[in-house]
Amino acid sequence: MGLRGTRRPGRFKRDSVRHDGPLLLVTDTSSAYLNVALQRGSSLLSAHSTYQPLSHARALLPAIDLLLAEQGFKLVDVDGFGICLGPGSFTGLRVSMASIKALAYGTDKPALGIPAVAVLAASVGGDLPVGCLIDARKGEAYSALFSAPDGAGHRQPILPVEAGTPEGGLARLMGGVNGPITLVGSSCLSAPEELFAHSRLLLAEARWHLPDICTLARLCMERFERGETTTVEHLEPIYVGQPPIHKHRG
Amino acid sequence: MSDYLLGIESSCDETAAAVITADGKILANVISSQIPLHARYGGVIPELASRNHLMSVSAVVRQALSEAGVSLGDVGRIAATRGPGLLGALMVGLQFAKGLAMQSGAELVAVHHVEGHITAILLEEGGEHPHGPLTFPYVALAVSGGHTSLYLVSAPGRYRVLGVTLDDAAGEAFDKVARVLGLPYPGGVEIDRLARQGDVGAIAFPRPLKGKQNLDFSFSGLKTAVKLYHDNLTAAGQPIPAADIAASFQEAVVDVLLRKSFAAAHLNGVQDVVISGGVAANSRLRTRMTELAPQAGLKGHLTRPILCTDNAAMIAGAGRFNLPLERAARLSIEPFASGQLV
Repeated sequence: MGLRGTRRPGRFKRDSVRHDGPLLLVTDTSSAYLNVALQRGSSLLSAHSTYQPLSHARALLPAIDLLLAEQGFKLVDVDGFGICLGPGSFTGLRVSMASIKALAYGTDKPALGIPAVAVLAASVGGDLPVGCLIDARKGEAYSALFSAPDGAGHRQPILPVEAGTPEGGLARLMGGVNGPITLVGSSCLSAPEELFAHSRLLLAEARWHLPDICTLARLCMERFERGETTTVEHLEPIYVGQPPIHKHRG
Repeated sequence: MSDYLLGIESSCDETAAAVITADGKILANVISSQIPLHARYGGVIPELASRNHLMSVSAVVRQALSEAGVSLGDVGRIAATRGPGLLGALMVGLQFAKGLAMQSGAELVAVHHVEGHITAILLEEGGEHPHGPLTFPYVALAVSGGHTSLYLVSAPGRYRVLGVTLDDAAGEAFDKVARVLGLPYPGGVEIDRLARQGDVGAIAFPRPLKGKQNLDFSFSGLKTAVKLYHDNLTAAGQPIPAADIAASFQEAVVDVLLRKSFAAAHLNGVQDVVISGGVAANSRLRTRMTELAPQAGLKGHLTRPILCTDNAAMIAGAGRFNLPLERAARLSIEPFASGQLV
């Protein structure tokens, strides 16, 4: 089943004025979109989002190279690296992570990752709790639940991410709170529409159903400025569930 | 090319990094094996391999540079395995190498895994030469769990394929026969060990494609013959002479490998024959090569055991013989799962 109403690929430039602050290079290849961004302090300098199914390994480093060149930076100028941890496409996650590990190792700069569900939840506006339902393919979905925003506008996790059927995931989310929730994630685009016909469900705008690179960059910077970075060796994708055990050849 | 090369290998179940000098001296050769991870499944699980490579690659590279006493900035060329192998596994090592090259400005070379095997012996102290020094051209047998091929090596970087396996690789046959005999994974080492207690002539297993003009291999029939022999004994309620089966099977494989390698040398007017790849660590193959090559009027050469199994020193070594990738390709090159070295 194809995706419905995904956001258009494109480039985003939110701030023309460069502010002081650390410079982060941020990537996300957890979905069919290839996303790269440069964040300087609280300002997003530039972000590219392109539809690149099955070609992340070919396209990611050229995209980073282009992004840096456009903004007049070199890798040595980057103070740290941010990445979307998933869950999502296994190969896509590893393309970004192998690249970011190499760049962080080579530059001896710190790195950090943000779970995809945290990016989705932070993207969605409104005062309702947010349920995330991510298409895990093969008839499965990842689900996670976040609270309504607190006084500072932050959503707290209520249910950690788990794998299951889309129906089971949705039931899990609905059971996590009593009132209505906003639902976001790629399953909203790929699962049958009738699955979401419930009076307590409000679907987020279609453009938020995949991790938003601008939100990811902002969250990475917030954590970076709090010193919540990790070593290259400890940077690890979020896979969720047991790995598929298919033996190679004999 | 600067004085130092960094090699990265991740084609199957070993994450490896090595540092060598431009003249082939190995300064560090670090291998992180995943065998314990896959042993419980009796074979390599590609998804587990990819995940493990991702978590090991930076530490392995860090250790190799540290052991060599070389900084990344001193590395003038990075050589990484591009294929053949498991795509997801290859991608991790190659993408890491691309990122390092992008950051450091080092040249990047994409290496065919088999080229690494058949030229590992060209590294300093890369092999044992019981019949005298190695000279070009030579015939190289690359024999492992994923490959069984014969090459004519005219010079570094100049190769011609002479024969390939038409079905299973020899190492694959070792693993499958080990499974029939109830031996743990990886089977090659276990068969080698068990065979020492057995009689190599106890069972007359077939020697497939034994025509002198045919340089291709086939091990599927041999593997099936072993299984049938085992199953027939089991059905008859007779004891299984596991050591004799292991020894006789191994002897059949060794016999075919050496017979084809020697025929390839004779057909091409070559004096020197090299064995390489994981199965080249087999003790019986090494012994018989040393014994039989002179009888065939040839010089046998044995790749050092540590350079027979998958490693990155051989990838760095082969990286000396290839042109570096141009700028666009060094950022965008992708791995491949299959394809002969030509």
